[in-house]
Amino acid sequence: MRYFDWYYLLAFLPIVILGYFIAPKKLKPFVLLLASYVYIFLLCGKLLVYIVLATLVIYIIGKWLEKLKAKETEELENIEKERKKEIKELYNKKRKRVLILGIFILVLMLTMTKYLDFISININNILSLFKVNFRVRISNFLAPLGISFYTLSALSYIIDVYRGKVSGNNKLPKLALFLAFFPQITEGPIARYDDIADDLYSGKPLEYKNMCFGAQRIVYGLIKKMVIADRLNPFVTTIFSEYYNYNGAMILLGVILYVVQLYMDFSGVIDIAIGSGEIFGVRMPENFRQPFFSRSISDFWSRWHITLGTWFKDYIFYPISLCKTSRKMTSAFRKKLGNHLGPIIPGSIALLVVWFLNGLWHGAGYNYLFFGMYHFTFIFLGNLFRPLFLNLYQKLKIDINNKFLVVIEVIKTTIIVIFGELFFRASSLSVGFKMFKRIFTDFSFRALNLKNILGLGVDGHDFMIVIVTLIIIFIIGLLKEKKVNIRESIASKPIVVRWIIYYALILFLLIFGAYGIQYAPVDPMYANF
Amino acid sequence: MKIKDVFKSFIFLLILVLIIKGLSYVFVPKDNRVNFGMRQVSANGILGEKENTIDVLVIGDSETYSAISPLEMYNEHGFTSYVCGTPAQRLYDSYNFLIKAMDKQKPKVVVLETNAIYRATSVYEFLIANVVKLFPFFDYHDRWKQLSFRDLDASINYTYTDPNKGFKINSNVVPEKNWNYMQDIHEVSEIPESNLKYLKEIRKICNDNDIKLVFLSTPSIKNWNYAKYEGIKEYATLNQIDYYDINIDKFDLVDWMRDTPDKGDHVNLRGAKKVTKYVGNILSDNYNLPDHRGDKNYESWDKDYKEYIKKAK
Repeated sequence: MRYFDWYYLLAFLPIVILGYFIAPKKLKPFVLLLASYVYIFLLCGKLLVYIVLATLVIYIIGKWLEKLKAKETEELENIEKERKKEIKELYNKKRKRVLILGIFILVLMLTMTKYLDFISININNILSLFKVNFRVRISNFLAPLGISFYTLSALSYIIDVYRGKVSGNNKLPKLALFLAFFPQITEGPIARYDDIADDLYSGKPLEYKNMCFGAQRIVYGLIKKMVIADRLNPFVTTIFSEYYNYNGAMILLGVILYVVQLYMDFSGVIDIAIGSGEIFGVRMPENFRQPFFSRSISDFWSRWHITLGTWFKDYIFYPISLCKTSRKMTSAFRKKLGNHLGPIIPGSIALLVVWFLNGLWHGAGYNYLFFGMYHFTFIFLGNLFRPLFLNLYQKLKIDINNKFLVVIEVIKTTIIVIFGELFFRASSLSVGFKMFKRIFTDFSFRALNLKNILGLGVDGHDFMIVIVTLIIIFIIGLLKEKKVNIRESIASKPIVVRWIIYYALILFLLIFGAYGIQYAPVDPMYANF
Repeated sequence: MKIKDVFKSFIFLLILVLIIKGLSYVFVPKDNRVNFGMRQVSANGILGEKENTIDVLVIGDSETYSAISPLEMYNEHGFTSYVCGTPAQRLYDSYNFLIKAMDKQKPKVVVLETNAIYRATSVYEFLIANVVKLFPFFDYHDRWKQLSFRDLDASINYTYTDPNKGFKINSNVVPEKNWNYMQDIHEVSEIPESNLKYLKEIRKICNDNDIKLVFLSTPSIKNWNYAKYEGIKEYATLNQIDYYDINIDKFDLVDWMRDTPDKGDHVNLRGAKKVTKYVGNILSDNYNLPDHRGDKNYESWDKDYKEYIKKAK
């Protein structure tokens, strides 16, 4: 059951809403938990086992960490001042060990489901390099959807407990609901405990406004997914699977359309997820903030898949860049290379680790690792040359917020993103390079004729409706960028105007959506990462 | 949520349902041609046939349009027939085709190819089929690409009819060596529960309209077996339906080394000619069907046959 299936939208979700509505306040969170487990079970029975195990792990680790904290406080109260430091260090070590154990178990579960194939292929490649006949035969236990997403949420919880940011003395059902809440299970957003747990567990009554806003958000997400992303699917699939039959210009068009498809698919599904949460009064974290208005790659990553970016920043980047060794390196380099270049080197080491893991998180494949390194390179270069450009703008008396400059930077960033996504979508790294090469060595504008473009399962009408919808979404994005609250402004209109807008949106989706027997259903694109 | 809000939501949804119902009239194809957005045009060609001109209606899955050629039967016996067969047809589709055809036709015989009877219908498919039946908009929403002002006028005029009367010519040959598919294994395949309801409905329509319902199992190595034969025989006997299983009655009719385009899944043109001849004889001998050859009202059938034999060599 996917979020855009009619039985999710017209059967599962309404039944959960009804159950939630009927249930007394105390039982409301349990309705959500039951619904979440049913949803996960319908998705994949084994995933339920994994998520229950992960819940137990973070519950036990959280309690354990909290117990150690309490013991430490107790001991510190009854001890002379001189030994306090020693006791603190001792308990810090103990807590660290417990945290590492928790991280190890969660990462092991993720590895068993996602990376065993990749590991065994690499071991076998090395063995064959040394002409050893032995071959490792291990493969992924299973590939439950969404495990990469909830594992990050689970890790964030135990690290936050370790850091004292959240309490580890939480009720098991509350933790279970935090990890398994059905709208976020397949594609995120990757929520932190303090983002959603209280909303989820408070058993808020259903509110008309929340339900309306939630439903609107769902319809908006469905429009993105079904009117744009799914409609472009035949074109993108053909170009990426049979790239060798096409001119570089057609490949480039296919890659651009893929970026549009990916954004509309992923952000559309996230809209459905956030909208589903909103219905129950749960404010889930936003995952996108007009990413194609970004002026640099680091800006892009603060607007695209935000919850993943902030996760890596908080749990990988900062711990590495703020550790003792890193700080020592920073001060040493600062003395030698100055205030700009000095911190860049240790910071870049942390950044390198982040992007290596980011690539690996997306999938067990060299193209994903390359994708990570590709973005690392551009962020690193951006950091390195930023003062140089700022200086240049100052000398040329160009305002950094000059509209023309902003447009140029946005276009530059978009181009970098597009080529990055080529490697991301390619079936392998070598195919990615072949496609990349073809774009630059076999490019002819003549190939971009109507016959070629309209011959890949997306006709003129399809392109027309995709463009119209993209323009609408662009305008909405522009208004959001200017901090205009569109939904609130619609809500303030008289009922007739409001309803006309809602009907128009729903009918737009129903008429122009790529669904029905003419269209092969397209799985959510980020669900397998 | 206040009662007022629940009421408001209900009104909103009610209006939405009414709009979708209204749009269904706009989006439904106004003619049964491809360029009008009609799908399964050869099967839906029945809608364009002249009123009360079809004597035998054949419904079922791909076995029907592969094996039965109405024009061959017309030439041989003079009665008219039409194949409303579609790929992987579910029984509710067969039922719907029968209802649609009955709008303009009063066939004397309805032949139901039995393969569709064993194609189970899930609750999901059942629901979808019923929603689509109620709101054809969902089936034809993609017609926005062809929509014109004419569509605002809900009147429908079906003008297309398939020159082969639903039959599809396939001359390919991909032989199958293993012909051992009708061994009596002393088992009876049960008809899926969901399909029993539709069989009952089909029987009711036929009874109410004085139509003879006939079950027919056309030759197919891949899709047919003895257990299925036993299941259909049991049902047919119980409900007094004439049942002909060519796989049993005339096992050697088809030469699977030459008469199949897909290793025994279907029959090809060569096989279809044999099956059609066999079925034509049964229908002609047992059901008192009229001979329209030479009748001015059926001249188009003679013309179609002339064209057909050029293609079906």
